Formats: sequence, C-alpha cells, structure tokens
Amino acid sequence: MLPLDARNQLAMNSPKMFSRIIFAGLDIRKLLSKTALIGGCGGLGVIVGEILARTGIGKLILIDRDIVEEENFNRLIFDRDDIGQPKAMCLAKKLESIRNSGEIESKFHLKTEAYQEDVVAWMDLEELIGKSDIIITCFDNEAARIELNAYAVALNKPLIDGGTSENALRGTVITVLPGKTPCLECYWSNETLIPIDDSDPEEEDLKTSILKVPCGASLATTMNIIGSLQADQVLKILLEYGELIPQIRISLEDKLSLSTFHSTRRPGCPACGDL
Amino acid sequence: MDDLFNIKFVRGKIVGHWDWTFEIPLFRTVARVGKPGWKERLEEELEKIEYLKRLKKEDNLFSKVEQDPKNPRIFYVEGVSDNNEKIRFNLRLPIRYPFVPPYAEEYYFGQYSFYSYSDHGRVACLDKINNRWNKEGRHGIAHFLAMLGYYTALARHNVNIRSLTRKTRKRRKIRK
Repeated sequence: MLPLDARNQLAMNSPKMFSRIIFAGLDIRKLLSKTALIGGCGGLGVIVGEILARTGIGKLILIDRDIVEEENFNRLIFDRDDIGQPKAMCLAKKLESIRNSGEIESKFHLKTEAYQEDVVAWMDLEELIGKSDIIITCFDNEAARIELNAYAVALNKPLIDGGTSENALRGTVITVLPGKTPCLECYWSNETLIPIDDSDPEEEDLKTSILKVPCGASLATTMNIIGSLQADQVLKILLEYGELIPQIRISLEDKLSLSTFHSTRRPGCPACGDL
Repeated sequence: MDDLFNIKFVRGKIVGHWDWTFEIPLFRTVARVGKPGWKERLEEELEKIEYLKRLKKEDNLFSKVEQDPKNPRIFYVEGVSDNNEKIRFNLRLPIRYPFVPPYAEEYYFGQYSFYSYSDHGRVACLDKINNRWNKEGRHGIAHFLAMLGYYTALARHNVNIRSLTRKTRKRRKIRK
C-alpha cells in the first residue's frame, strides 16, 4: 500500500479516473505493468474484468468459447446490440471503451487480447498463461477450470477460481498459490469430480429439457459478490498486501453467510503433488 | 423400428435396445495424455476404436476417427447418420482424461445439440456418460463413442433417458 504522502503526488500525475484508487492506497503503477488472464467471460468474468479494468490493470487476456445470447442479460455488461458476437471480443471492446480515451496518455491505456476458443486441449493456452501474471477462472465447467489449473501450477502462476452453485445462491472463491495452497485438482479427486445425479426427482422429457435448460441458473447478486471477491484476491496478490484466503464461501440462501477455510494440499495430487 | 441403433419400437413403445459400451473390453493401460504409459494407451485406444467399428459395422455413425497430427488431445470424428447427414465433430480430451470422459465439440444432430458440457449435466448425453464413466480410467474413446451414439439415438426418439438407463443396468446383469 502507498504511504499517505506518496498518494497525493501519484494522484497529481495520473489520470483523474485513478485518483480515488490511489487515495485508497493502491499503487496503480504496479498494476499497469501487470497482465491478467480471465478464462470465461460470463457472469463472473465480466465483473472481474470490469473491476480490474477500472482499477488500472495493464493488460487483460480474455478467453471464452461462447457468443452473447439473450439468456446472458440477467447478468451485467452485455446488451441487445451484442447478441451473436463472441463474448470475449465483446467484453474486450467494452472494457477498452471504459479505460481508453484520447485525453488519457497511452501508457495508462488498457491493452486487451481476446480469444474465442475452447481452452480444453487448446495448444496456445500454455503460452498465454506463461505471459500472464495471474489467472482468473470464471468458467461454468470443471474441465476448463482443471485445464487452466494444470498450466498455472506447472508455470507457477497464482490462480483465482470462482464459481456458483446450481441454484445460483451459493458461491466459492478458491485462491491457488502453487506449492502453497491446494490447487483445484486437490479439491476434485477422481472420486468426487463427476457428479452423480440420481437425486433429481423430475423425470423430464429430454427434448424439453434440452430446449429449456441450456445453462445452469445464475443470479447477478451472487455473481457480483463472487466476482468482486475474486478481483479483491487478484489485487492483493498483484499489489502484495493483505491476507490471502485459500477458500471463501458465501451463501445468500435463507441466511446470509460468508465463511473462510484454510484447506491443506492433497498428497499425491496429479497437478501439484510434485511441488 | 430403427436398426441403426438397435432400438425396436412396437406400438410406439421401446421394447429393446442395445448399448455397445458393454461389448468393448475395459482398458488395461491407464495413463494421461503425454504422461508415461500414454504410448501404450494410445495403441490400445486405436485398437478399441477398430473393435467398435467392427461391432457397429451395420452403421457408419462414427466411421472415421483420426488423431490431430499436431495436437494429441484432439481427435476428428466423421460419419454418416441414418438420414444420410454427414456428421463431423472434434473430440477433445480434457487434461484429466481418462479419469473423466472426453467431450464432443460442435456435436449436433439435426437442429439439436444433445450434448453439452456447460449445463451441470442436465443434458442427457453428457449426464449419462459422466455417470457411467469408469472413474479408474478404464473407459476410453471407443466407450465414449458407443455411449454417445446410444444416448443420441434415445434422445432423437424423445425417450426418457433416465428410466432407460436404469433398465440398461439391470439388463447388463441378465445378459451375463
């Protein structure tokens, strides 16, 4: 965190949009030199992306395989004009328009790279993770998360994972510091990764279910809290302040709750067991 | 009656169906892509894909399965459906394969996607394949394709997959 007297000096020499951030003590010079990779530009990705862009991150690498559809409107940023466009490209464009302006010096501009790709078995992924300072996973499926986790652990990059439950009222943020905190594969062993869905009481007609439920439930309320907590952990890691928490869980069900966990690494984990 | 998937309809009801998954032997080698043992595993994969093709010689649903020469984790699958529609999709192997199933990228049948990876298992094919997948890594691409064809067939006939899966499990014991 910046000392009090340095804040005024830095605020004077920086664009006005960063003044409040500098007064909070965050050193945007450090942030401007950092690159974050956001995997998944849905409900969580757009929140994390927007917070980081507005806070002063230097570069964002955005990856998402999907296009914007009407069902995404319950969350933020995307609007009707974006329908049919790739989510990653669309988000990059919007974030650049927030940050970059002719009145602001180019060294304060946000740089973006956007890819409409499926990360599973994608050969460029390793290179992109290699040039990032931090990885943020905001996917809706385990396979993509585990993929980024494997490269992040191998390349010793911190990873912040966010996810919400199927009823969209609970959420988890997991912070992975390779070799120090449990990685995502530590949490999902072979026995527990695959959900056994024998409890569903509905005997739904298949075709109806395909047409009705293209994606799990999501609520902007839960997504915003989880996305904000992810961005908070990112800032703490990049600016080296505060305490990092391996696992944060929130619930907006009957009672509002926020709990933190300090879990241990799984011996023999295929991703981080050798570290 | 639909010979392609061995589903027989009598008065509009299904009376029999066949799932080739049980016919394919389990894998002897368990190895992740690129890790020690993968070479042997790949040989076994190709062997079992050929075995599946022989079993399914009456149809051409997944008649061509080829590995991407540059990326060992991508396979190209081609075939022809019973309506003479050309099927072409990519099979991606997640990093935890064979402990988790592969997934079929851009797998569409007619206008529907009976398969998806992003809905927490609520689409029938993926849900069922995930549930039935051998968690010790002894299922492979051939098993996956067999299951995919089977559940796609059921889905196309608008069959309630859940109840059929239960029946299938019971039938397996009876066949032994």
